[in-house]
Order: sequence, then structure tokens, then C-alpha cells
Amino acid sequence: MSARESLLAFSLEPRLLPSRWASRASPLLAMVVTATIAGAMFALLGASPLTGIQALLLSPINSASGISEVLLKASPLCLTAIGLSIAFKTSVNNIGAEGQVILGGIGATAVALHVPDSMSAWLAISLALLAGAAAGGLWAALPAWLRTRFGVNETLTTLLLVYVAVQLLSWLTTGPWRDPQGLNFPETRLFNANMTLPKLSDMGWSIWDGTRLNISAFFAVAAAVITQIFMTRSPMGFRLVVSGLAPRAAAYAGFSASTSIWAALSISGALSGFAGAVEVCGTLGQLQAGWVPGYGFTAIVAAYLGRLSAGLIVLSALLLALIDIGSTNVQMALGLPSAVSALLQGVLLLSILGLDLLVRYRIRRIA
Amino acid sequence: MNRPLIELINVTKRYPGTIANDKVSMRVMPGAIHAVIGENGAGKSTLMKIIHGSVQPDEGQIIWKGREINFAPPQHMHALGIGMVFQHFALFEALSVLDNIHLSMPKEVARGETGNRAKAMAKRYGLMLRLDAVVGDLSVGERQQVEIIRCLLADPQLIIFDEPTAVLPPHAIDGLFQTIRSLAAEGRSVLYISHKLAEIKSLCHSATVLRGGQLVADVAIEDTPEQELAVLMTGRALPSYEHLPRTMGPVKLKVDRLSSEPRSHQEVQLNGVSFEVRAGEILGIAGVSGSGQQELFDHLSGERPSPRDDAVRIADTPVGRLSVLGRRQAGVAYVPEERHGHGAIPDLALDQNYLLSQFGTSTSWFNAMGLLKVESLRAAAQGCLRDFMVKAPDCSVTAGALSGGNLQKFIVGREFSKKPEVLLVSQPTWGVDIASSMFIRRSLVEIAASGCAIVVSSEDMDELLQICDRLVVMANGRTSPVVAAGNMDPLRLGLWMAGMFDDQSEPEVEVA
Repeated sequence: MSARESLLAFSLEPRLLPSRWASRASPLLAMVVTATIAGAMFALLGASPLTGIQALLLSPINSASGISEVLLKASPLCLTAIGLSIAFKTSVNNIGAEGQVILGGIGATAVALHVPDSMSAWLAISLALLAGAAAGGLWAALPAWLRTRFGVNETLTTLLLVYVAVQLLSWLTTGPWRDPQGLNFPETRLFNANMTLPKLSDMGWSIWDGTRLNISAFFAVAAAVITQIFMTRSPMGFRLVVSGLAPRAAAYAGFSASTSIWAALSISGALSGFAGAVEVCGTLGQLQAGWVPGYGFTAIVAAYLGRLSAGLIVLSALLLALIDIGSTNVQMALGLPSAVSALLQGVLLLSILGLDLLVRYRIRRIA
Repeated sequence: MNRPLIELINVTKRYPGTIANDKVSMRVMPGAIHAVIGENGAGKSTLMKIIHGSVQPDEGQIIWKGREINFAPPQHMHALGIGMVFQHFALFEALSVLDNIHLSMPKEVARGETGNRAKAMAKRYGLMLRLDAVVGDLSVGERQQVEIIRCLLADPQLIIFDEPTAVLPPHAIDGLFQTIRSLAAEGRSVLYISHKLAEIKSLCHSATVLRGGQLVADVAIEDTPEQELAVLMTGRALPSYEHLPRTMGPVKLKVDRLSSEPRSHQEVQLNGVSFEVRAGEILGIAGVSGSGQQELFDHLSGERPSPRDDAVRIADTPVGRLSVLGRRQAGVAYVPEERHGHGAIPDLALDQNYLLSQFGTSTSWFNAMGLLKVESLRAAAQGCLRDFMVKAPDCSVTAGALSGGNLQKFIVGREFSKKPEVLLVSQPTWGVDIASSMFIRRSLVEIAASGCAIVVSSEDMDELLQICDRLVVMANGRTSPVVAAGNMDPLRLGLWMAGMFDDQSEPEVEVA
């Protein structure tokens, strides 16, 4: 007995009233903690901590082109994370956004390869984006069907469908959609001009001249606003929130559990698919077998980091994009190995989660 | 004269505001199967926890084999030879049966040795035991057998069974009784806690009857007819209340031979439930909790639709197969027993909780764009707070921040605001302070006077007698005949609560 007690000398106790102030400030504090740990790590590796921190946090945003890259990276991440937040609020564990993003890219490509280049750009791009959203939504509807019809856990099926999506992508780009003039590379032909997302510089925003920034950032902001209204003021949003918080109360209200599951998965899948379409029609301009979006998984982090609220997710997506680009810069500026990038992201996440834990719990010494 | 195995003398346990056990004395002879009978809240559980050692009494003595023991912790009582089979099993679902048993063995016993002993024990008492099965895959009956074997491996002299049949399907009960009888035949004593009189009559030798924390009687089962046990258990003369005359209108709710298919062992099967309620009338459902009340309300509210459409009729329209929304449209409103997570969501604000039960009603809370009319919702929720005297700063506070009484007043007000034809209320004042309870009861009577038909289920007999016009008793998923509240007497109530209303050809007594 006494041996066990001395091993567990500390315990976590839930705080009765987590401080609101602390819960708001914790992401900022996490940045400070990350910067401190990063600085210490740079010093240990024999590099200047200040140069490192500058490269990590400031260098990505000290020029228009830098900011443009952060925004380009943050937009699809934000779209995907907002979609996931809807599923998570419904207590539906969609962890397969990566696959839904890929399907979105495939859907958009299906339109892009088959639409005549005489079609007006706005119509063509709208069609491609809608096709992407539909493909992502349908891909996520598959787990909804399995869950509601056979009771199969969606955590498993959404994840496994990611690998199916990767195979589908590889088959399409090496088979039916391979560019005949592409020197046998596993990729489609480049899309026509009417199929690429307009760049802000081409739309007369001179501050963005020379950058790759396209209108995807607007989509992300629009998605955040619409989702916020949808979740707080629409009957379906209310139904999803209620189903997520208390299934019993949802039954009492008269909401069917399967409708909520279908809606949560289809909507989150559609937003992920939309993000994939934006990526393919934007920065990529073609579909490639080696395309690994990655943010399908990072979006899970972004969604929870943003406390599943659309407005905060915009901020968390920006933060994650900044750290992602910043750590690549660190790698180059200090000549550090590429593992530094993953390491820094890990440190950031751990500090955020650790601080969140301390907001909700206190550490107590067992007497 | 034999010496009792255990004897309790004037054991008293007080909790703030209540006395759980008031000078209770009891003796159990070796080899006896001794029942402890009482309604919910009679003090049975506290008394058993005192014997088991997990609760320390404030006064009194416990004599074990003629020697007084000073209220010792469970490990000590365990070592003396007292074991308990709990109603809620303490098993690790992800582990195998053997691992679960092995965890409770002394450290020096090897795992293989545990297996051998458990096997021998199972064989001796005719229990089924699959040592390598994972507990999560076992039926409730099998899990109980694992618990029993785990308890028996400590070779206890006294074994406490806490309502062991509450969780068992009927076919598993016979086996359990055989096991208990063979334990007694070996000279071990058994304390059997229950409120099911038929079981006690067939299994036990003697009984201690508790009521309201006090010892009512010590009886030999042989010499005591079941009816007498029932009267002892429910006891006291029922109080009578004056009712203001209300005019009764046409039948608003008619339940006709409603039956159900249980989805799990824990669910009670409804069997031919029938009654009707008129406009302006309050029908009370009495009975020990877990007799099918929850299942009945699920089927009345539409959370569980019935196979037969005419099993439930609202104002003569069959609604049995309709969902919650359809029934709400037909005029059903419902105050569930559980406020947190069923009738309301603690994490949501009161106005959102107001919206919770508004879907399907004629009022639309959404504008032409499909967006919530925030202002009118707030005004309605605020009106509910005012009319039902809910103490809350405004409707933006979360439901979880309200006391039980205030939240219950809010829910009753919310349901009443829909001007329902039929109001279903489960445990209206469970966990509610006295002032709010009085307010809620008065409100229910006023709501009935406005022409609503009300069904109230409660375990508080006083409450039912105070507000109801007629009463029906539920037991084992069936309903008794319906009687006028004034015509209920303790003897009949006790019998009906024990499920004995089959051979009673009581004519239905209507109120004028």
C-alpha cells in the first residue's frame, strides 16, 4: 500500500471553475513556452537562439510573399478543420479527412479534365469546386452508412478509407488520367487556365504582386462565418450540437441519431473535399500521384486547438501554418537537420495540450 | 440454543438531514437465509454497508460469533468472513474471467492456483465458469456468477446478496437460488436484500423488515403470509387529501394493451399496459422504481415507438407508431425523470434548452431564411423563468448552473407553455427542494384544471395521493387496475406493488 502511494506522489484534480482568462491566454502562453524550449534547443545545437526564434516566428511573415505562403498553407487547413469541428461537435469521430481531401482533389480533377476550355472561368471553377465538395462528402457518407446501418465504428472506417483514397489517387494518375505527354510521370496534364483559382495579384491587388496567393483565403473566412451561423442559428446546427452533447436529450427533442451522423459526416467530408479541390485547382494545377496533403490529419489538431469554434479555428490554422513554414526556415537558416521541423511542431502541440490540462486540472501532492 | 453468527444491536447511522438507520437490531443464525426487506430508501443498503464495513455507524454494536467487533474497515470484515455480491458488478470488462478473479486473490497465490480453485468452486456449486472468456462478452447472469465465485474463494461465513435478481433475466434466477440454498446447506449464512416478496417467500427462512430507517418487524417467513409482508413493508396508514373539484372532459390519452420488446436485460418488458386519462385529470403511477415506468414513458413520449398504432391514442387519434415529433404535434409534452442530459442539457444556456422541446410544435422559431429568431426565443424563455418562479439571472445562464428545483420548474414551465393535451411527468420532485416541490405540485394541479390530461409517476406515495385523482400501480412491466386515489388502502397498495393484482377482480373505480 505505502509503496504504491510513494510512486503516485502527485495526482491531478479537476478545478471546479477553470479560469476563463487562463483558458483564453493558454495558446499565447504555449507560444512563449515553445519559443523558450526552441531557443534552448537551438543553443544546445550550437546555434544562436535569437536567430532561430526569429527564423521560426518572424521570418515567415516579414514579407508579402511570406505572408502569402502562410495564408496559402492555412486556407485548406482551415477549411478542413472547420468541417471536422462540425463532426467533433456532434461527437462523430471523423479522423479520415485526409482521404476526403484527396477525393475532393479527384472530384475537381474529373471536372477539370473534361470541361472545354471555352467555358467561362467562373462557371468552370465553380463546377470543379462543387464536384470536389461532393466527392469528399460522398466519401465521408460511406462511414455514415456503415455506422447507421451496421453499427460500424466511424473512427476506424474513416481512417481506413484514407488508404483506399491514396490507392484510388495512384490508380487514376498512373492509369486513365495520366498525361500522355507527361514523360511517364504519374500525374495528369496541367489544367487549362479557366480551371485555376484566380490569383489576387491578377485581380488588381498590387500588394500581392509576385506572390502565389489565390482566393482560397476568402473561402476559408467565408466558411468560418457560414459555419458559425449554421451551428448557432440553424435548426440543423442546433440538432448537431444537441446530439453531440447528450444523445438522450436529442432523442427527447425528436432528433434521429442517424440523421445527425449522416449530416455531420457529409458536411465535414464536403468541406474537406472542397479544401482538396481548392488545393488542386490552386497551387497544384494538376493531380499528382505523390500528392500527400497532410493537413487532413493536422486539421484534427487545428480543430481542437481552436476549441471547435469556427472563429478560433481560423487563428489556430494560421498558427499551425506559421510554425510549419517557420520550422522549415529554421532548418535552412541554422543548417539544422530536417527533423527540427517535426520536433518544433511536437513541442508546440505538447505545450498547448499541457497548458490546457493545467487550465482544467491542478496538480496536488498526495500526502 | 444456537449462537447467532452475527448480531446487530441498536445500530444507528445519521446523514445530514436524515437518519438512515435508527436503532436497528438484527440477528442472523448460522445456515440461515435471512431477508432484509423494505422499500427504496428504507435503509437496507446503509445497513448492509455497515455490515460490510464500508460505512461506519454512529452508535450501536456489532457482535460476530459472540465477540464484539469495533466497526472495522472492509478488509477487516472480509478477513473475518463477510463477503458481499454487489448489485453493480465490479469487474474489468476488458480482462478475462481468470484475471478478474486473480486480481482479488492474495498476492502469494499463483495464477494457475487461482484457476484451479475457481474451477473447483464452480463445480461444487454447479456454476458455469469459462475462465478464459473476456468479461465484456459475458451475459449479466454469467458476470454475476464470476462475482459469486470471487466472493466464495475467500471462504466467507456470511454472504450478502444485494438485490441479486434485479439485473437477472428470469431464467437465470432459479440457478442463483439453487446456489444460495446449497451455500446455506453448508452452514454459511446468507443476507438477502430485496423488495420482491414472491422471491423472499420461496427462498428465505426469516426476515427483517425496515421502513423509513426503522426496524418494523422480525418475522419467520414460514408463518407470515405474503400479504402481511407487503403491509409491513409499505406500512403506515395512507394520508388523505382534499381535492378541489375539477371538471373532467373527454378521454385525452388511452393506452391499450401496450407491450414492448426489451432491448437488453436491464430493460423491463411492458406487458399489456392499459389505462386512460381524461382532460382535467391527474393519473398517478405508483410502484417500486424499475417496474417499467421508464419504459412506459419512453413508449408514451415516442422515444420508443410501438409496433401497434392504436396501443396509444391521443384524443382518439392513434399515435402508437409516431415518433417524438408526431406525438408532440398531437399534443404530448413530457417532463423526464432525468433532468441532466435528458430533459435538459447542462452545458447549454436556458434559451437553448427552451428550444430543445419545441420542434414539431406549431410555433416556428426560425425565420424565412431558416435562422433562429433569437429575440423571440429569448422572450419566451424569459417568460417561462418569470411564470414559474425560476431563480436565474436570465436565460443565458447554463442549465447546469441551476439547482435541481429551479431547473425542474423551468422544464415544467417549458412543457406547459406548449399548451399540451397530455402532459407526462416522471418523478416531478426527485431531488427538488421542498418549496419548489410544493410549487411544482400546485402547478400540476393548475395545469390539469386548464383541461390537460396528466400522467405522473412517482415513488413518493404522499405526493401521488396529494395531487392525483386516480392511481394505477406498476409491477414487473404490468399495470394494476385503476382506482380512485381515495380508495387506495395500504394493504392493496402493498400487494399491487409486489405484483399481486392478477386474481384481484377489482372493478375499476371511476371518479365522478
